[in-house]
Parts: sequence; structure tokens; C-alpha cells
Amino acid sequence: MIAKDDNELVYEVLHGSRSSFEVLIERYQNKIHGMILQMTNDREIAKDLTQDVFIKAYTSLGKFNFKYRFFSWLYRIAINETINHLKSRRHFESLDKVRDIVAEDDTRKGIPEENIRLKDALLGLKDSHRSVLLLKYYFGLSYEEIAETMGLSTAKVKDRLFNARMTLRDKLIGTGFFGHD
Amino acid sequence: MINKKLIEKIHEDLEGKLDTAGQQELREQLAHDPEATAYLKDWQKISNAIETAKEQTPQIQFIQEILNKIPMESQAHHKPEPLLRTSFWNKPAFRYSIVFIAGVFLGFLSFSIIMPGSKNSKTPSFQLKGAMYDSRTFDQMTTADVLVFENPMVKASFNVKYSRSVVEARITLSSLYPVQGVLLFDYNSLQVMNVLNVSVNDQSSISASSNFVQINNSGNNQYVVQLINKNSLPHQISIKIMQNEVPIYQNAVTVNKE
Repeated sequence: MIAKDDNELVYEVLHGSRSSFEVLIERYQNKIHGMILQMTNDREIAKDLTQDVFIKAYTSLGKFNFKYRFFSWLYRIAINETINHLKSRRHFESLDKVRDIVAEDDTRKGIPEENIRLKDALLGLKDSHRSVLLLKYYFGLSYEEIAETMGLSTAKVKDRLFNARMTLRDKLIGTGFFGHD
Repeated sequence: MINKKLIEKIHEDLEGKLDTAGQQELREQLAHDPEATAYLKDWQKISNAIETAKEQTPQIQFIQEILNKIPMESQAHHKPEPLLRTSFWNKPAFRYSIVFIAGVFLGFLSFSIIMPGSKNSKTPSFQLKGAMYDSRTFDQMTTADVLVFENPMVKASFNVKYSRSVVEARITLSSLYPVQGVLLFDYNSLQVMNVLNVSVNDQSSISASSNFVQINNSGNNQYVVQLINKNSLPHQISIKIMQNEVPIYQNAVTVNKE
């Protein structure tokens, strides 16, 4: 059986199909959850935010424009929800404290040291840099797809990705991540 | 500072997008650029760490939890946009402009119906009392009758016209001696709105009561009488000219004939 296209499924959901929305959740839940986990470093929050993303997507589905691809619309919701959450969390906790908690939590669960440093460096990036890196390396999107997701031009995406890569590398150099510093 | 294009090429290589010739070219460039080589090695390590982090991300299953939290039936009320808009007529901007134009048209239509002259609208008397009703429309009003009387002592003409809300009489009286002109009507049907001496001398006057208008005339004078037309039923206005309390002319006009 040929798998249905995302936009076909959206169309069916809009006509009241429950099973079509199940397919969409099944298709994207792991990617969304993984991306949010990378950005927040908190499994409970990642779980809650992932659910919130799908609930928000469902309630806003009537506004979905069929000329775009569903995943870019969904990833944008996911990124916005996550950034909003991080901003509200920063309001209450300093970033250093968050890093300490995360590092402690990861070490306890036997996550390699270099992954902790990578997450730490990602946490220290600007939201726009972190988003573009995650879309590129975690979701594996092309420049054009990132541009569609973030509402930017392809040239702007390339520029932002260049700066984000440089900044991430600079942050990691000071942590002993590469072993040569 | 590493060349931006070279960095782009390094990442293409890391993603396996370079062909053999491209890889060869990159290797040649890197041989002369230790900074770029270090960058490539660093990013190989970052890419590996990202891949490891991805593999370590636990697989989850939230379908039921999500579905339990959303009211599924509410989506059935949405009217989805068509997958493809094939026609100009389906464009919202066009539809809204049609609704807007129709709204403006209906607004003008309603306004013209509600305006004075409407059969169903009652002209508010408080707006009309003490103010001369705009009689520029006299020519457009329906003629009830034009009465003319003439004898050696008196000349008179009564031009009576009406619309749906106003009855207007333009009266010309010419007499060597004092005469009275009287217009009598039913106060349930007509109500005095305005009486006006258009061109009169000191010996002439016009006055009104609930069911009549009286003119005391001497010389050549012109008068305008405006009455509120309370309903669309035919009414008679009785017209008399008297001299020394004796009627010398009597007639009647009917308004709202149609």
C-alpha cells in the first residue's frame, strides 16, 4: 500500500478523520521529541512539549496553507514552542544552573562526556543558531526546506548556518571536546 | 580566516554530496590550508557526536496520550481550504470584494427607502417644526390640482402638490379690499408644518391651527403652506375665499390620489 502524502492526511483530518492524525503523529513524534530533547535536555519537558506541539498543530490545522509542506509547518511550531519554553525557563533560572543540572543528569545516566559537552555548547547558542543547526543536522533538512520552515531566504539560511557552525565550534574548542585544545 | 566557499565544500563532503572530482579538488585545497583542515577534523567529530546523540534519543510513543488530550470531533467543523484553487472566483479577496460591493449597494438601497418620502417611514415632526422644509423638490411633487379664481375684485390661484410625506400649496392672492383665504383639512391626515409669507405687505398675514390655515390678504401677495402628509390615504383640502365673512369662492383638492 502506498503511504499517503502528509497534505492528504491533513485534508482527511480536517474532514474529521482520527486515524489520519494518528498517522501524522506516528510519522513525526520521534523527530519532534528528539529535536526538543536536544534543545531542552529535559526528558519530561520534551515529552510535554512534544504533546503540546501536536495539540497546537491539531487546533491550528484549519489555518494550514496547503501550498507548504506539512513537516515544515509542524517543525516551525515545534521550534517556536521550544524557544518560548526556554525563554520562560531562563526567566527563572540562570543558564549556568540549567547546564549544571543537565550535566549532572547526563553523567548519572552514562551519556558520553563529549555528548554532554556538545549539548552544553548547543544550549549556549542563540536560539536562531541552535534552531538552524538542529534542522540541518537532526532533521536533515536541505537549505530550501530550512528556509521554508524558518520563513527565511535560502541565502539567509546559508549565512546563518555558517555563523552557527563557527560559533558552535568556537564554543566547543574551550571545553576540551576536540582533544587538541 | 577560512574561505566561506571552502567551508561550504567541507560540509558538502561531510554530508557525502561531493563527487570524486569534487573530493579531489577539496583535498588539494586542504593540502595548502592547515586551518581549513583543522576545521574539517573538528566538524567530523561534531557530526559524529550529533549522530551518536541522535541514536541515543529514546524512541517514544505518544499517540494515545496526544489523542486523549485533543477534542477530535471539533475538527469536523472546519471547512478546509481546497487543495488546489483552480478558479479566480474561489479567491477570498474576490469573494470579499463582492460581499463589500453588495453591502454598499444594499446600504444605498435601504437609505433611499428610509429617506423622507418613504411610505413606511413617519417623518419626525420635531425635525420639521419651525424650519422651512426644503421645497426645491416642489417641481418633483405630484400635482393635486391648480385652482384659479378670478372676479373683478379678487384674483386667486392655489397650486397644490404632494409627495409621500409633504403636501405643499403655493398660493397667490390679489385683491383691492381685504379678503380671507382658508384651507380646511382633517387633522388626522394632515398637520401644519410651515406657513410662510413669501411676498406680502403689512396688511396681510397668515396663521395656522390644527385643522386649518387662514390668510388675511390685502393687495398682491404670495404664500406657501406646507403640511405633513400623515398617511397615504386620499384626503381632501377644502379651499375658501371669503369677503366680509361671505364665501365668494369654494372648492376642494384631493391629495394622495393614487
